[in-house]
Amino acid sequence: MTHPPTGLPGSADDPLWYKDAIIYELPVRSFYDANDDGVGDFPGLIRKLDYLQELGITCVWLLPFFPSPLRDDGYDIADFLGVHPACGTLDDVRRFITEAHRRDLQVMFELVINHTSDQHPWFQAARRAPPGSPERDLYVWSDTDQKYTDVRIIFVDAERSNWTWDADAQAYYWHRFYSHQPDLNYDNPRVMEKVLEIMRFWLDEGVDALRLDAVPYLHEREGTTCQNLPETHDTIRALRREMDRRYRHRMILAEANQWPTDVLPYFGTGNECHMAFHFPLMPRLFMALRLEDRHPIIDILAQTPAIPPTCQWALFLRNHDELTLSTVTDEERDYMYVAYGTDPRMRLNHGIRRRLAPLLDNNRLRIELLTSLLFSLPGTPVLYYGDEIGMGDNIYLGDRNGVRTPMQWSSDRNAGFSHATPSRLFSPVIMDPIYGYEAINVEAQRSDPSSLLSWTRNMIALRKVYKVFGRGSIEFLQPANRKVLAYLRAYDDERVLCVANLSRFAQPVGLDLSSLAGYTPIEMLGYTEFPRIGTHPYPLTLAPYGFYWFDVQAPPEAIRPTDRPGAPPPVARRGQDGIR
Amino acid sequence: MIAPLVLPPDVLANLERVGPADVVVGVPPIEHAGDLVNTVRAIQAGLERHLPGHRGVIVSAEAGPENAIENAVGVGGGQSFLQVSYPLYPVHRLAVPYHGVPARGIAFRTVFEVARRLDARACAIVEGTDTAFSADCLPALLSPVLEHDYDFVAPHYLRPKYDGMITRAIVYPLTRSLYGLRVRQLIGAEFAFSARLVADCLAQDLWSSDVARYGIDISLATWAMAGGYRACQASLGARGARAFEATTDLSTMLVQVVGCVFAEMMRHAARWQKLRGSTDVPLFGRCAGETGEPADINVRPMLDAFHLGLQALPPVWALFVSPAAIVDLRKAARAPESDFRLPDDLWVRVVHDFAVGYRQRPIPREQLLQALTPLYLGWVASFVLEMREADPEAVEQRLERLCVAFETHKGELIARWRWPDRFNP
Repeated sequence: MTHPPTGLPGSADDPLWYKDAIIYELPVRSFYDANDDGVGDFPGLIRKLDYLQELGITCVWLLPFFPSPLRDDGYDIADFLGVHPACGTLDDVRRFITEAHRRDLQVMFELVINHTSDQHPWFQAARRAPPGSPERDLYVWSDTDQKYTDVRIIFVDAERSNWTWDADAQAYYWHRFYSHQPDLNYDNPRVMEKVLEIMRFWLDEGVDALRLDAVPYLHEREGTTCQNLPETHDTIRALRREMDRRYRHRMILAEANQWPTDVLPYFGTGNECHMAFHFPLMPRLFMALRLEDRHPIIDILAQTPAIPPTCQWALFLRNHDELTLSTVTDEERDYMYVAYGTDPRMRLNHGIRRRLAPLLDNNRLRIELLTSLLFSLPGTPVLYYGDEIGMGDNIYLGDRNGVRTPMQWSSDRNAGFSHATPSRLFSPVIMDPIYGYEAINVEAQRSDPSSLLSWTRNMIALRKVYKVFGRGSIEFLQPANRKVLAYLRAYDDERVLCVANLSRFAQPVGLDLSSLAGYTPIEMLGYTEFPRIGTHPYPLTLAPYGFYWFDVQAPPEAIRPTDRPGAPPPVARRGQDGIR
Repeated sequence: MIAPLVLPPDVLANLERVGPADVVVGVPPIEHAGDLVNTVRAIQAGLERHLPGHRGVIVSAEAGPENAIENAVGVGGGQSFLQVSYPLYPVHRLAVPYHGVPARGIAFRTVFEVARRLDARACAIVEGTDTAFSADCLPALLSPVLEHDYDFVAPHYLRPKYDGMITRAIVYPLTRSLYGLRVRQLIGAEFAFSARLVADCLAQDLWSSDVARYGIDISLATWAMAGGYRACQASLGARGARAFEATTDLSTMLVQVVGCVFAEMMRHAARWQKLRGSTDVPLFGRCAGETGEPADINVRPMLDAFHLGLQALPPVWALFVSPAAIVDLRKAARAPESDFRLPDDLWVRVVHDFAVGYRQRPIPREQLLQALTPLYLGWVASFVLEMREADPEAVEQRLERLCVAFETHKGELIARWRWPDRFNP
């Protein structure tokens, strides 16, 4: 194999680009169908890149698009280096990468390295190979299903055991997810070699970032929960070493659905993953909103340890999976089910399979409030496709397919997603009177300056003006009114005060901002100057579900023209007083 | 990431032969070869007379393969002369900017690339115009970079009272309020850049857009101002109206110039939203010159165009101009000719509305900018009527008041930019 030059750069100039990124997650199959076969594809996605650029997102995260039997929406991969024929060809993928980069969009692909599909040639060979052979040892086999009995089952609604009997192999194979997804055996060095080949292949193609799927489960050891093992960290460090050795400005994002203290080791000392999802924050945002109490948010962020300076949390409200409740207490889970998942069809495994808008009863103010928190809490926001227009879901579809329906582009047939006969669509479009494509679609919202799409676009643009949101520190204020969440963000000379009313009624609050006495808050959306901060509690009144972002500025020195003909006036430098 | 500019092999061989330089002065092509020859001779004289210790290279960037200048100017002193061709496609010939130089952006980029390859500490652009470039002006342009560590030197001209009106009405006050630096001329025929700025600009995608085709000077100046580079001005004497003579009609010129300024506003939005106030920038040199008597301007046709616009264009303006501004424009139009004035606050609001409209694109951008023409003519008429008896100092003070108005209303622009709702006052 011919190696590319050492340090092959990504498309971003800044090595820490992911700190300022706004990531947009989408399944290629659901986004836009260019060849009218009822399935979204890369040529379709390329056509919609202008939309994404206009929205203002900076990084496109694609869910798996590889050859697959599609029994787990593509996370059951049968060929890591290929493209599912329905999605296009490798040339289409290359064109997509080029076109995305041309629009200054970074690209993130999935690196699903915990398991393969049982249809993968590796597994087909393994089950027929004799025990102890190199082919067989690519997977985890056992003569008994009584090993690793302390390990929890993740898909409790579908699986009874993490072991499945294979008649051909005459042995059990290990799987942390569905039984058709056998786990790879990382105790076998050949597995690592193959994974590195896959990683190099996509990074050589110009991919900027890789999301490591199900990263805590790579290794198995008896007497443990088989997650977060030291050997797993060795494996991640080896991936990272290879990435840093051969490439520049690339990024690894870890999917580790764990408590923050358990996720911390996945950053290492800055030598494992660049980013990791903050899973426990997500349900607590919904919980705080419903309880009208800031405690769940402050509590979980207080439990969140500091991470290495080159690392970053990825924050999200919704994604392609259920609203996971595996990192809440039993009592909290009960509350969340009652509050957000009353219909049993909404529940799946340890979570609630719903989109953002239906979870919030389609209340625009609630959607805006949670999105404002997503954009202003420390981390990089990840948007899920369709949430920017308030798309709904279909709880009558199986598994998590109800939140993976075709993107609603217009009120035309098939929501403008495809020209195929409706019955050919890979999934029905949403058609109910509230969330259906005739009511909720991009075309309508694009031309409406008051739409959720326009609002989201404006908020993204505003967030991008201030590096503090992606890179700054956070300090929570503790006003007496617990329905109000207030925090200060700071980075270099940027100071931003965020205040959010979690209640459905107007709320007063007095904020102790005495450390900023003399500063002036400028409300950032309307660039409205508020009264100067003094030593007394700073009074604010917030509308129901209202929020403020303030740019807290030192008063500008009066700079007026100085007509001094003949004398060179002072040189203006960046950061000098008066040209802040 | 931008693909690097590939210079032809013969040019690379010439660069190898010439070797490193302290100063590269680029001369983009112009229509009259005679002017170009005079300009190159002036630069040669300037380098020899004022910068004798510096190794200078003059680069004539030529559109296409023609190669006629070298023999005319000869090669003298310790300086080198290079003629570098750059590709010119039909689209470039069709889209001639108001300066009249085809593919001006590529010409600038070619000169920059030569400067980078020769490790030049300073790179100047001098465009030949009918107003001959004076050899004695060269130090004002280059010494700020060579001796005072400035990155960007903009020209500062003495101009007749009614000359450069787009700059006076829009470009200077708007860009000053946006980027916080009082750089008078973003449009000009002479600029200088440090090696650092040249390298940074070459690494950016500043060269391939329509903006580069029409207004590369605006792009580069804005890049320097918004990027926090050390900026100053060089006093280069008088420039007459013909120095920047329009090769196109006023409407097209507005589309090109204002379109470039607005496009750069979009590029640097994250920067200018955080800047407040403005500061002076130093002025180097003192090239003398006579601006001559200002021409007597007949405002009647301008006011006719303004009134005609008020009759025909409100439905278009209403898509992006605030209703209160449209009503105020109508109010202003009712005044008798001698009393006709467009108040600064109103003009600022109009320009800001057009900027936000340009970003929002409720109609095609070219059409939007064309709709500015009658309003601009109204402003010019107002300015001429107000300044008819004014001396140069009074004109400066008037311009200063306009700039202050732009700075005062910047907060409203930021609000409109961040929340570009049609539903505004």
